[in-house]
Amino acid sequence: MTVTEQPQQNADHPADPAQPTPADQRVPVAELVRTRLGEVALTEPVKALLKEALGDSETGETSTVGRIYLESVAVARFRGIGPRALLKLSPRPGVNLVVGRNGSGKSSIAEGIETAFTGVNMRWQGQHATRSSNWRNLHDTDGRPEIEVKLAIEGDTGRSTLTRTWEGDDFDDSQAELKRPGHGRAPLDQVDWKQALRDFRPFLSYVDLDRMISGKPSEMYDSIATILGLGQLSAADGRLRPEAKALEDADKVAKAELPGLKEALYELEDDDRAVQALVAVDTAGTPDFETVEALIAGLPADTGDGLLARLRAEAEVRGPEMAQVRTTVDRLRRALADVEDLRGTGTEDALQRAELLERAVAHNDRHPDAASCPVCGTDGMLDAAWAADAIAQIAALRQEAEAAAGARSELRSAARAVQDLVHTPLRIPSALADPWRAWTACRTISDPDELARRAHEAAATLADACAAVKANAVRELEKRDERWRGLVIRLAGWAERARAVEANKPRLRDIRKASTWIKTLAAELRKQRMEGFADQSQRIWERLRQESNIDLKAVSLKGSEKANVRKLVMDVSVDGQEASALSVMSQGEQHSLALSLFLPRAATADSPFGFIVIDDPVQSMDPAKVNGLAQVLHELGEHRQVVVFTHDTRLQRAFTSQDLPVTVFEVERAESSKVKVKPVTDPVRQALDDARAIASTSDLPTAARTHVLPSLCRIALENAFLEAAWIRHHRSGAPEHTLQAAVGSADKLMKVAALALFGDAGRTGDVYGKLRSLCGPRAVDLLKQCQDGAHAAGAQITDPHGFVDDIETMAQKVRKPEVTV
Amino acid sequence: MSTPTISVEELLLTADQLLAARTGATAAGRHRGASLALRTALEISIDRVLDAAVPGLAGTTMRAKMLCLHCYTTAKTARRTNAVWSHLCLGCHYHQYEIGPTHDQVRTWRTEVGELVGTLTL
Repeated sequence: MTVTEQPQQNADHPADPAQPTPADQRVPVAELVRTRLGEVALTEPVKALLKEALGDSETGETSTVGRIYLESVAVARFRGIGPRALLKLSPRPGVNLVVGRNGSGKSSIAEGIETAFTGVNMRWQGQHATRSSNWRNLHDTDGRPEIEVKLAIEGDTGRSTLTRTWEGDDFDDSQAELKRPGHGRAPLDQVDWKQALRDFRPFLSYVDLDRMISGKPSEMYDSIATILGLGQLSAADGRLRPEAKALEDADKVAKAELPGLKEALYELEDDDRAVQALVAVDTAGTPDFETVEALIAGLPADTGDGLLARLRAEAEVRGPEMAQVRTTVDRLRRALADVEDLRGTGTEDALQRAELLERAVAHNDRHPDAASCPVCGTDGMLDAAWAADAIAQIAALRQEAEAAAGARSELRSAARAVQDLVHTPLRIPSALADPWRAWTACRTISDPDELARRAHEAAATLADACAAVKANAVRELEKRDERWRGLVIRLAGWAERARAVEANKPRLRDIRKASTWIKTLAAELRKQRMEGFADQSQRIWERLRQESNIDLKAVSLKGSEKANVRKLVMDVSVDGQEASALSVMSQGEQHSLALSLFLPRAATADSPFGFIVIDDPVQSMDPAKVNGLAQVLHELGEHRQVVVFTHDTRLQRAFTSQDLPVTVFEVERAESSKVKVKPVTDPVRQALDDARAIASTSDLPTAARTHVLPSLCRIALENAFLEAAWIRHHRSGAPEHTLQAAVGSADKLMKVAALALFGDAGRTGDVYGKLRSLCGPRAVDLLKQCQDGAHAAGAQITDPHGFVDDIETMAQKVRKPEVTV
Repeated sequence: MSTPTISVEELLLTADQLLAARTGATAAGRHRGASLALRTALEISIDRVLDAAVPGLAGTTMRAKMLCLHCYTTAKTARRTNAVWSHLCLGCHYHQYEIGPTHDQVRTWRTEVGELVGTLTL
């Protein structure tokens, strides 16, 4: 049995919120990531990467919408429901039981809620059309089926309405619209909790549980992993992956290319470009890209000792220009001939004779009458005729001398011109050494005749040799160039890729760091959250297992989210023997296990849904387990609005017999699918009923009336205030824990009243005044009498029934918060 | 209150004997008998606490007594008492659709009642 087995767990009073479930203590992933990002020592680029990767994810999703609670569900002409049936709930945490016989229409309401949100229904999914075809009500066919769910969204002062309608007869063809105050109308597909609806599905039916527990291990893993909230992280990592992969692949390609390239370069070892390239490419660490690129651009190498330099020198070798040689040697020959022609005609002699004759003519001019020669004395010789002849002779002699001088100077100049043709380059290819020496030797030949002879011969020999050497070198070079060109293209391609890889290295490093950071965080969170989750599962299992001899020892996730072999591992032991969970469990036990696994899911902090709808969880449970289930649901109900549909009256009894607060509705079905939902009890009514039971007990001692009755009434008022306080608090969007603090405080009633009336726990001093105006002049006295029950003197109540009536009136008034915007 | 009265002890002993017995009545019968003994032991203890607090209070209905108990003992004890008493009531009666309490169930009730009887006399 339940309560007695875990006395320590009973220590927390049902109304005592001091021990929230681990799920609620958890911070949503998005928030956690933000905090962590602020703390860690990461470089800015890595942080930027992380922000970008995490930013677009669903991270924001859960935070944009406040927690959602159900306020009412209206179902019309759907399944077993004909005219509109309305289930009105208090939009706040707490357990609601919707009880009805099989076929009363309660399941239609449960399915209606699910269908309103999802458009599909798990129960029918994958089933044959004949079973799902009767989704429309058979009786009421006048109008269209319609489901309307009113929602209280945290921070919203007004209510949102979710409406699903059908145009035709196809169940899958429906439209849903959400009308939210301040947001207008929008198709449900566009609301931002669409993904959350899939991840945290706040609907659990018996079929769901069956399916979950009978799924593949990897499917079970996924459904648990999703709720750990790590999907966001893994999505962020997924966003980083493609770029990292591209960069890694580029690196791999460049690396894979290298051996082939090196081999090709080795083959050209007689080409120093190849050798240089090889050295540059093979540099440890970063390749010497500058050298590689210079080689690709074809810039001359700095060093010039290699074969290639020799070939290049040979190719560039310039021998004597034969045409020029020929012309110059011809000139020399002509000059030689001219000099030969003038041989014997001494230039000097002719000049002296000319000078002598000039002087004689001058003497004759000075002494015209002296007819004799001053040299030989002969007379009559130096006359005018002589003078004229002498002048003519002077001119001829001078001309003759000039011609001789010219011919000699021309010969010298022509010889020099020939010798000037001889040039000696710095490097003479060895094959040309001899002919070049012969050619060079021409410079030192002084005899023009010999020069003329040998110069032409040496030049011709050298020119031929040069042409031969050059042709050979050019051929060799071309051969090498062709191979090199092929390589250069390869080298250039590689260099471009390798350079890109090199340039992207910091980026890749950053991405890897970001990815590692995410993975580390994910692993840490998975472990930490899974522990919390497993704890809850085990706690729930302990409540539900009752006399089962099966111990749920551990629940863990094996493998990461992307691993193929990932699975949910449930370690159980049967009477101390380890076993596989599913093979040793009975149907009822498996069902309990499924609840143990999937109830914590509904309470996960990341879920925007404050409610969970459970259809028929009691099936196949033996009586003792039902008590445990009530405890489990009650705990869940401390932080979630739990709506349980059941045909089993044992569950309600389990709540009341264990003093657990609960709101109960009864579903009744009249003819023609008229379904009515009737409120039966709630925590306020439970306390009032208790008070009435005391009031009706005739033979009760006075003390019971003075102390017990007011205490019970006080509980009724407290519960009424709490309901109002909660709803007002939720509207304001304020954090839940401030409310919890007020509820947990010593001055609980007044603080909760202040919260209910003003939304401010500090305004306890204004409570009486407000109560008077709200509930009439007697309200304060009534409240005081309730409080007096706890004191020694007690409260003097003369008319117990009247007192309870008054308290009921007051409670009904205060439980509905005024809408103050 | 001082020590538990002999009658409470006797009732607990009876329950123990019924739980330990291997012969005699059917198992279901013995379990129901033990439940009855345990319930009576619990009710005697409740009456003592209430009578000590408000003379005459023990004479009222069980429902009223359970409600009053919240005022004269700790909330936790009151709740435990109420819960195990509710369960014992179910165990004592023949319900059309329910099988009787199991041996283990009655054993746990026995432990719980044993503890509460001690607590309620404080």
